Amino acid sequence: MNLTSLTDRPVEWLKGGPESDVVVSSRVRLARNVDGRLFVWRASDEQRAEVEKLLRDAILSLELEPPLTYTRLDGLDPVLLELLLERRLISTEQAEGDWIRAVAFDEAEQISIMVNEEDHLRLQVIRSGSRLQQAYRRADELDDALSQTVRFAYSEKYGYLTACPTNVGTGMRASVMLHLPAIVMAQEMDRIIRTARERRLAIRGVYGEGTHGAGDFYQISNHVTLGVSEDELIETVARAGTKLAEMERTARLNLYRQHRKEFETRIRRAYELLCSASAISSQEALNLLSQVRMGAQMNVLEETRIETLNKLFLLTLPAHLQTMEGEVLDNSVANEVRAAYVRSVLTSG
Amino acid sequence: MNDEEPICEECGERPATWHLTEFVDGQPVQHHYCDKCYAEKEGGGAILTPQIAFAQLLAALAPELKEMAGRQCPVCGINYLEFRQNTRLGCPHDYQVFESALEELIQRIHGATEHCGKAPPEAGKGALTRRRIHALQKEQQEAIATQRYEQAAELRDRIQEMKEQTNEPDEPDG
Repeated sequence: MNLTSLTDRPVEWLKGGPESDVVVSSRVRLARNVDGRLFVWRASDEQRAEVEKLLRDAILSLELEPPLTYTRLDGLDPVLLELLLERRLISTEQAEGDWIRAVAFDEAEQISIMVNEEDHLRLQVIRSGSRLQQAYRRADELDDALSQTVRFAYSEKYGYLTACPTNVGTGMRASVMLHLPAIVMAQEMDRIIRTARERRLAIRGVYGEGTHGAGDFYQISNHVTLGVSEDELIETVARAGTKLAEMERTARLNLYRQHRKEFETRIRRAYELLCSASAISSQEALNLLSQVRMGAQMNVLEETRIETLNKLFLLTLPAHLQTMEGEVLDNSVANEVRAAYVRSVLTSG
Repeated sequence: MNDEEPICEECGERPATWHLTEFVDGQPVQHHYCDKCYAEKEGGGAILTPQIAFAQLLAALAPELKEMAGRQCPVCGINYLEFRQNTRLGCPHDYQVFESALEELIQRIHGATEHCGKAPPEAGKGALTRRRIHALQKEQQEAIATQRYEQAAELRDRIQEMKEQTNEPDEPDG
């Protein structure tokens, strides 16, 4: 398929769904390795090629309807790699690799199967909103189907064997992505971090380094993968997501009730800036869109719809912008193009 | 999760998930900390991503290095030092080759060393049984917490039975 056409399509995980005022999306990722084979980093190019072929055959034999798109990533244009990364179809590690590797994904962009990432197979299902159970069921089904043709490395004691012991056992990372602008505004992130820690969950900013997230998007996930069942992990993460969502909603209400004037002014100012700036960086856009999204969610701002904002979150990202423009943009030009694009989308409602 | 999780020696309240071995005057001294106290001891506030936590754990393993240094995997050829440097294993067989060092590492990462989740179709019943025991243990804890002691006792017996069953000869490890 022509990957550039992806920009015409909405992504699954910005589609709304249950609790999506705060819980943007849910994701389950399973790590698997082919039995009797060296792990990716240790294997030779020839061995990696063998595993890629083996897994490609297995994935295509799934015969899903409609069929998965299978794309080799080695040698792919870096902008397209970044496009896939922005759409969360591949991980940073997969994008930055330079060996034989691939990704298979479905039309809805809910399913994504990476070949030769840190493990031979990284199977991922994303759903919008708070839908971890559904995401897991689908991932589980796919795992079962692949197990019919591939023998995965597994030991009775340690479970599914992975390249890094941090993933051994279930090989599962369950996560939810949360939008927490009010918590950030009220400077209560340490409460969130504490809540996550108490439940042995990791938390990180989605767009940015370490804990701070541009656009106030945060991901919480399990980091323990052994000694617990998959169902338990799903439950723990889903519950935490719900709890943190409640905290965010309370924070939004508090901000509105106790600091109404400042709150409304701030939201308005963000909106006006987006409508009038002549140049805007990706980070800035994320931060301003975050404020505006919160305002729209709370009906403080009625000029624009959530769907429009969700679209903008994605299309203002560097690779998406560049792909839509159809040419390579240097930074300052990109910032102008981005600003123009945002202005045109917002002013046309 | 283990039945007998040690309690943090710092706060005395929360279960310890960090188990460190310090060498004092050539003698190993065990320390047990919960997440909160450990983070505070290590200069607090930093988010421990799996990668950072793992690297710190590896650093704390130095004493084991002497023992493991000689071992090499016959399949992928890595030795323990290479594993430590790359923070990744070379092949599935390494889990057997470096088992004793890995056991402790895995215990620290996950607070457990036995899988009780899903198994592939060709696998034995070990994990399934452990998963069932695990689920029963949770029920038992809830029963105790809600003072349904009769139920808790019944569960205790069922758990005992299941544990005895798993002590029967197992299929060889995959």
